[in-house]
Amino acid sequence: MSPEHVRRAAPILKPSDEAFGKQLLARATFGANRFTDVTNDLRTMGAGHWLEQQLHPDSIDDSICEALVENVVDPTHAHGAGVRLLTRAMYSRRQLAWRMVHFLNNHFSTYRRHTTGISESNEDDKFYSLCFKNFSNVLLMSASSPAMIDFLDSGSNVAGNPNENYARELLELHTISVDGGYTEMDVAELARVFTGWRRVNVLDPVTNRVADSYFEFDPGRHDSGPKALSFGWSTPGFSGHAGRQEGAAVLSFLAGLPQTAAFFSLKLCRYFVSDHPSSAMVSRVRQAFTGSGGDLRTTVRAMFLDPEFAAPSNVRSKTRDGFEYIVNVMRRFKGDFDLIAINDRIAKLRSQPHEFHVPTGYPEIGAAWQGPGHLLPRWQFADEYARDQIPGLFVPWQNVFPVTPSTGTACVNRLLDLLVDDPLPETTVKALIVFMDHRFAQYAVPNNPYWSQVYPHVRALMTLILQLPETQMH
Amino acid sequence: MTSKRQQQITSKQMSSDGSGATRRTILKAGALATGALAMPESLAARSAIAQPGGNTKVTVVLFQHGGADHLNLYAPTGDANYASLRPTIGVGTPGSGAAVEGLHMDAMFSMHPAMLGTNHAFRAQNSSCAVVHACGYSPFSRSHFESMDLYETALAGLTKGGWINRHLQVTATPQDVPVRALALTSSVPMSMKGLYPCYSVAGTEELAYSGASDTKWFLDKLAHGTSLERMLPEQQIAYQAQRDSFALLDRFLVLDPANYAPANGAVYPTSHVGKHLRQIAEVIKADLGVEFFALEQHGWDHHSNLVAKLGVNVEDLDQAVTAFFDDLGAAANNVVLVTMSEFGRTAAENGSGGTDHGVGGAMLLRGGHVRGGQVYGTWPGLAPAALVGGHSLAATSDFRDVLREVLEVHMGGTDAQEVFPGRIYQPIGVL
Repeated sequence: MSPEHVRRAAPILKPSDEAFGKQLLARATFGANRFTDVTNDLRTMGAGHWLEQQLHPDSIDDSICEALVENVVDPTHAHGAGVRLLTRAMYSRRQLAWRMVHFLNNHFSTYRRHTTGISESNEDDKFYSLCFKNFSNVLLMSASSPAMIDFLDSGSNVAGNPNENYARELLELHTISVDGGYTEMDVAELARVFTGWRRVNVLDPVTNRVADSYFEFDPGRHDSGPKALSFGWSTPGFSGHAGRQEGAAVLSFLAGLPQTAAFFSLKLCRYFVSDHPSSAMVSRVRQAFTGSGGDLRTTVRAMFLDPEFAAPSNVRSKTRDGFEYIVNVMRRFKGDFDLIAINDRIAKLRSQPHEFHVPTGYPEIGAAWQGPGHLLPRWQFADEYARDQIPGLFVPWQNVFPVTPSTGTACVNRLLDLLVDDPLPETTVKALIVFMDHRFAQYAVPNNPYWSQVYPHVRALMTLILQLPETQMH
Repeated sequence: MTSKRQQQITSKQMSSDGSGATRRTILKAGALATGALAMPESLAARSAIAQPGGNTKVTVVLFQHGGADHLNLYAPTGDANYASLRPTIGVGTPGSGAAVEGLHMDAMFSMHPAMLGTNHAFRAQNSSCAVVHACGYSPFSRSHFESMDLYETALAGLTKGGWINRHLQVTATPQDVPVRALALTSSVPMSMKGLYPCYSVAGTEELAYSGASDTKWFLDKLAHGTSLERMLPEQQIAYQAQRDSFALLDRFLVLDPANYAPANGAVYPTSHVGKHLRQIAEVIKADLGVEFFALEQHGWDHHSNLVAKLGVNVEDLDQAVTAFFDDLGAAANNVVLVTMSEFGRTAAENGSGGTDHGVGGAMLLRGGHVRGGQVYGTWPGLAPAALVGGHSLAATSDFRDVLREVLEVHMGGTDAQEVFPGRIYQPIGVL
């Protein structure tokens, strides 16, 4: 089925759905143009039904992508987890779920150099299975995740000699936030609650890599004395295996606090909607979170169905991070790309999952990804990619131009159709057309015997489009 | 005073291209908080102004991310409580037979043994290498991210931006060179965020556009020629970022980091901090009038296994800074390097052979006319009653006073009330 055929077969959206559908494709996926499967799905089903299906990812057959994931890389490899996430971002039909994993993985950020490939990979899979369940489930999973235990030193947090690293970030970054009203004493008390939480690594004797990593509670290292938080939680303390329940209970308590609801809702809206979401919108999302007892499906649904989600002030208002920038470009070409090569380019943009060195995670604020420090390597990528200089990432030119364009204008229109969602400033389009028409006039004649001479300029055009401010945004 | 200075800056922006409205729009949109703001048009106009002589005073701010353990970098081996607080990780005096034997500083302090070059500079005749110990601010925060912001804004609040930026604002003149502040980081650090245009790039090797000249010309034209009027504030920031990128490319065309040869046999480590100090040395020698550089060294958050992990970081830092000053040679008279970290660490070691977030830390100053060979500040001691909250070294010197001396004595003056609002100066005497 040709792309053109798909387009004709798709039903026309109602005008009221149009803006909503476009914004969904921009924010609930890792990139879509009108030829991507996900766009076809959305147009066939209607935006509302598509969203509902995306909120139930297990109902979507994703066997092709998952088969690829199993074959692409060994999850125990240092970069295994990152490449597996990349594969899902590129090819999964459960786009929203993997966007959500991207968000959660960054909210509960762990740094792969302090953890292991397999613990990151396992953690990502759990984020997926919990991404539309209850927030408290995610919190408990993260606390007992070997990746988090390694990253924030829970393994060396022992009775009599507590290590505060995890306790502090649990309050500051994962739940009630730095303004949430905790004291230094709370951090110390909370650290004692988590004494005895550790992980066990299983080594592969052949590769000498960690083949598996699992949680274990060690009652012998647990501080069984009474503990209390200044904002209303206490435990008499338990010895033996009951000691683990203290941690589970305090996590559940923290997940239910209004400060947590407010902080998490703000971050969610920042990631999916706007660098500066209105307090009214954040408040509505927070109400969905609180009203559902922390149900993430309800919360995320409320965010996407919020009247402000597709408001003009939120359209193409967020700068993509480096991962999103590269993946968006690659998704728009149906090419047989080397995923490891894509991953390497994302590394050059300093935006790989699991590679942020501090527990805050990468900024959700898009504007933090602006500036020469971020743009110059993107320009470099655009230039090398369009000139087919990156091994494994060749531009599938036959798909880009199934029919050789005979005018500069046709050439510009085709590339914009593939690469840019919303209209560019009129002056930009005009300038691009003049740029190309001029070159076609120089070299091309009907039946294009001189196509080879125009070709370098077509590459230059693609470089330019990939470098435009608009291409950095969604 | 203040309003006059602000007027001066404003009129400069307005007169250069009449794009004041756009600028205000961007400002209003909160670009300040993101640091993406700049003044490209005025920058382009200022590019035409002649270079200054080779006497630019330079400050290099090296931020040790994670909260460096200053009690092992500049260890108070003369404090009666030190050894018992750190039985397995503590630094001993030279010849003490301790697991880690330090290098001599004075009767109270020993330097970490990996700081060979720094210790040599500290003990040299006419030394320009000094330490301010028990340094910090009050009331303290033990959150990495909050405390980092407090340091980098000098406690002025996020909306006021960074201390370097405010200094640039109050010292702005129409003769300013296009780039007075450059960070070797992907994003502009908080210390440089604010009204005055500051720039960042992850490394000067990225200040090269390898693409065809016609795409560069075209993109530059679009970046500057597109009307921002009906754009969202976030889109204006994106255009601004493009303009900034071109400004940097043009400004630093002369650099060739791949072929830069350090002088005086200096050998930089291949680490990030080594690479970045090497690149900063090249920019300083290119004499482009850049006054402030910022760079980061990561990985100081040693909650566990501190002895091994800290040693790696310290050695890297020492070798990089030593190479930097060797390389600069006589030019080092115009350069002061100062280290900062978001907090010190707990006085006692924890059960993991590491330390947790503390309060008082230390700053290393080197170069220029730093009055070296001394440890500055009042030592609060490590007795249980002297420790903040029973766990951390107190901060008896305020880091803002150290920075104030750098700006007033080394950089030739500032408006301390603007840069360090509300701070009542207590002289340190390090400069």
